Amino acid sequence: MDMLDVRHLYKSFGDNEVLKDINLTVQKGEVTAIIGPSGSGKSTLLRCINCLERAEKGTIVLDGITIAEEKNGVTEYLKEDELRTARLHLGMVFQNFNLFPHLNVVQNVSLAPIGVDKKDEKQAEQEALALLDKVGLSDKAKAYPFELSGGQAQRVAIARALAMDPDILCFDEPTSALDPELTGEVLEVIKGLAKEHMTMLIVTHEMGFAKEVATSVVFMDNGIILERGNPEQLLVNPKEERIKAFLNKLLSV
Amino acid sequence: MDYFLGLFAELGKGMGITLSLFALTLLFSIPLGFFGSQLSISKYKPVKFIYNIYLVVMRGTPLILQVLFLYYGLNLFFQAVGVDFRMEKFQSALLSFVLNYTAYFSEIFRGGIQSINRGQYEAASVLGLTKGMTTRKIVIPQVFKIVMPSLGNEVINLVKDTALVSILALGDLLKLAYAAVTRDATIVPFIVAAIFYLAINAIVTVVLKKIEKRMDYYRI
Repeated sequence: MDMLDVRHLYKSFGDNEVLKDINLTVQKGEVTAIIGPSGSGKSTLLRCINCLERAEKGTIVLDGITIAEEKNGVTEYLKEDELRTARLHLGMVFQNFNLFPHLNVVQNVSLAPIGVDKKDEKQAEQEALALLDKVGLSDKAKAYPFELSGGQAQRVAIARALAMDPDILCFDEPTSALDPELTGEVLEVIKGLAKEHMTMLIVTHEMGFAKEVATSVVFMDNGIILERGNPEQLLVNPKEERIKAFLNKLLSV
Repeated sequence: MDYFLGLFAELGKGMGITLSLFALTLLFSIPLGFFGSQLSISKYKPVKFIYNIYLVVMRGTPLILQVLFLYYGLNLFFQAVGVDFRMEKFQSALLSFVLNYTAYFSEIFRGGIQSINRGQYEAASVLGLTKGMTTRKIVIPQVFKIVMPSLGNEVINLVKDTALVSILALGDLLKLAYAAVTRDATIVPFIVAAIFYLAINAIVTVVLKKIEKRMDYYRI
């Protein structure tokens, strides 16, 4: 069964059509990298899947639950409470981390397990520490976000998303806000998750990383999915001229 | 010298009204101000519109006028509609102060809430936090830190504004000082009153600094 099934998704901001008839399925254990020029709608697609933006038209099925369904040309979403629960199947890591500045690292990670999953505080804290260990930050457990480097903050954000035990983890340009020397540590963590067969959807500009970690690459341009294929095929021998041009531009920098 | 010290005892009696007006106004208008800030960012246009009229009136007219208007206006109103109820001076003054300060606090909170990064709401929402939980656990703690300096300013203003109730011949600090001045034909009581106000604000300032310092463990 598909973990995620997006059908005929449309989204505009005013007159600007950002997504045009997007179809995308993700299987369990798949790592899908979404690449493409800026403004192509990659982030918007991720935000629509996460319901941070509402699509005008289209259907989104997540782990068998229909969260948005097109009926007679309009898309209807689940009611707020049902949607909130359904969305827990998805985790999200943002470009700008969005850690809670007033909470320390452990509290950031354990807030939702305690508040939403109603886990016992001690247990949630233990699990948070284990996750921090996994992302290599157990020594920063009591630190506050302002005391962390960008790479550390992003790893905490990954641990925070993992704490809710999502079926799919989405990354919206997880290394774009980082200094170049800090991207490695974040990519390592994501690679580790890929080895554990975590289902992931990653919007990224790191082509080398996409090639290495993704099982499938989606190229978006101008609001549509231009091509989808395995990394070797799409990143080395793309069929589309526009993908070739895009890749050449990146290489020439 | 004896006269000077005697004045402290005499004017000290006015502290009851001054301080209770100060404390009760804060007690009511801070939570009400937070509630009001939610109205002013409400999605429902009529709610927002009506609330904004309230804000314009409260912030656009003198507090002393509001104190007078409410006291005389309400009692005339009760008389006119035949309700056997008289608003006491203190109750009426407190009501005016709460209404007025709620407006100011609400605008301060609105500014604080709007300065919270949208990413904070998004992070809370993808983690499945309810709206209530997001407000309590994420928004309010950060808003308080952001607004603390402006809130502190208003609190210090409030100490001084309490003097306005002497217009209703309530026996507050300033009223007693004024009475002593006219009785004894000397301005010394005014000096004593000033010392009282300065002392209150010295304490208030220390407390405010303490609170700001306690929230210093993180940065937004």
